Amino acid sequence: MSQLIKRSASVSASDRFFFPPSLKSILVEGRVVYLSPTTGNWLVIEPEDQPLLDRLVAGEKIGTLAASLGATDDLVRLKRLLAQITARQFALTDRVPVPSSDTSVKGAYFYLTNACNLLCSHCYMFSGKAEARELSANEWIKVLDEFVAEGGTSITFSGGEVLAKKGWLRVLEHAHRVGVSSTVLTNGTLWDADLVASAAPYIAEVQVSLDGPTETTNARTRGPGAFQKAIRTAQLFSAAGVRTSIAMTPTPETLDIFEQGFKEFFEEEIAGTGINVRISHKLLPGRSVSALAGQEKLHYQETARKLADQIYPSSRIRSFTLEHRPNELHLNCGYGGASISATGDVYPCNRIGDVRAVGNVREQDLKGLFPLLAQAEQATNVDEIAPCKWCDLRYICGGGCRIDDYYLQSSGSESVSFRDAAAIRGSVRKDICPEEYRRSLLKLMVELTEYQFSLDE
Amino acid sequence: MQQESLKEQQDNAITGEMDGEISFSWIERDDDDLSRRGTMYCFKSCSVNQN
Repeated sequence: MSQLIKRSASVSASDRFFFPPSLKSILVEGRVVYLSPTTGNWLVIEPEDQPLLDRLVAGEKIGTLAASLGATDDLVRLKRLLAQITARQFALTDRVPVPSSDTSVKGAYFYLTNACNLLCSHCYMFSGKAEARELSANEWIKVLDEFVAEGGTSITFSGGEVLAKKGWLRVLEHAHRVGVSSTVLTNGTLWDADLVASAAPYIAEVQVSLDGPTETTNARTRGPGAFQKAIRTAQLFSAAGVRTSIAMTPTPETLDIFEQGFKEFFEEEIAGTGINVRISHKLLPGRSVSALAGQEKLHYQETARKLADQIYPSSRIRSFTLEHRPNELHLNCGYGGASISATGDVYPCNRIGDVRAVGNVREQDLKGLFPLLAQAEQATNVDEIAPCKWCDLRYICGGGCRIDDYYLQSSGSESVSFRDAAAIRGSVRKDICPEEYRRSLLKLMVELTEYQFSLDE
Repeated sequence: MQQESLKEQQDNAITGEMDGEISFSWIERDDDDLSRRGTMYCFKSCSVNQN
């Protein structure tokens, strides 16, 4: 849902704005992106507005500036600037804005089991059979308490299939009791109305996987008979007031048939239910799929984008807008957040097959492992990794997926992957960030401003 | 004629604003944040949905 809201504000003529330091002007397709690298914030202005903005940045009182303007048009331009500065909280009249940043360590992934009733062709966890020596429900509850004691506030429960874990509901109940916000990722095929009613009060969010808009397409990835069950589960959760998403991942086999019946699926099963559909824009290596590269990767991205736009117009800019609140720094991709495997190994990323574990909860409590996760987060923050640490856009970009895009290299040694070594400060790098990517990010920043704000003239 | 009147109003507004308050308004789009998971943040590029 999207709505347009009229907002108004005023400043005193004796006010001046306090701007963050080190501001930069960058010309982007005829407009000026006025960037604050330290707060990850920006304005988009017309080149002719730059002198007015420069005077505000120099500390001139707003009333003095207004009084010096000869033409009415100039006042309109000043008000346009004031509106954008205020809306983006780019500068404040009593102090310099202080940015906020999310931290990975408050959230965790709990892979409750590797058991699953499905054998999806793209499964990055290669789930199916439970592993030997998986943690029991009681052990999970103990780990959960340790996580909360360390300041953890939210957990994503995944698997395998969460419902294939004996005692799963008890773990969710406990999480709710100790104030954790729970997200459950599920294939949706093992739920019925009673189970949904039992679990819904403990769950903040459910994500049901569905990999095609029809039984035929979905069956190619997830096997026959899963389609209707998964939709029904999502609808039951949404009706029970739980925030509900359906996550769809095309594979190379289904990519070019995904569009068949896609709009009908959305209109008949999703529209009006409150369910949000997410479409993967990247394929991870899994049971019988490989990561894509080159033209195949681009084709996948473009197809996913087109699908998303069919059901949510402007989906890309909308997502970008939602992810970029004013003065919110993107320091990391989430690396450093605890992901705990079914057997208790603790990893700094939820792609646990692609990273090295920092320890196991049976051998060490989370309190002892958290400093290692915090180090992993610190070492992979955009302030530490190359070439991001030199880039003015780093807090807006966040650096992207550490595992896919970066490697580890200590001085004089050969490069290794995140699977073979722990990330330490100064060791994380990639060779090139293409200028084309930076320009596309700047273009998105302009589009966000146009999408989100307009002057009330 | 109408334009002149508007300009006059705005000129008066400028004079008044030098000492007092300067008001402005804008239209802002407010989207429901359905796409953001409540838990670990991971950019859209990191789509761990494949299970």
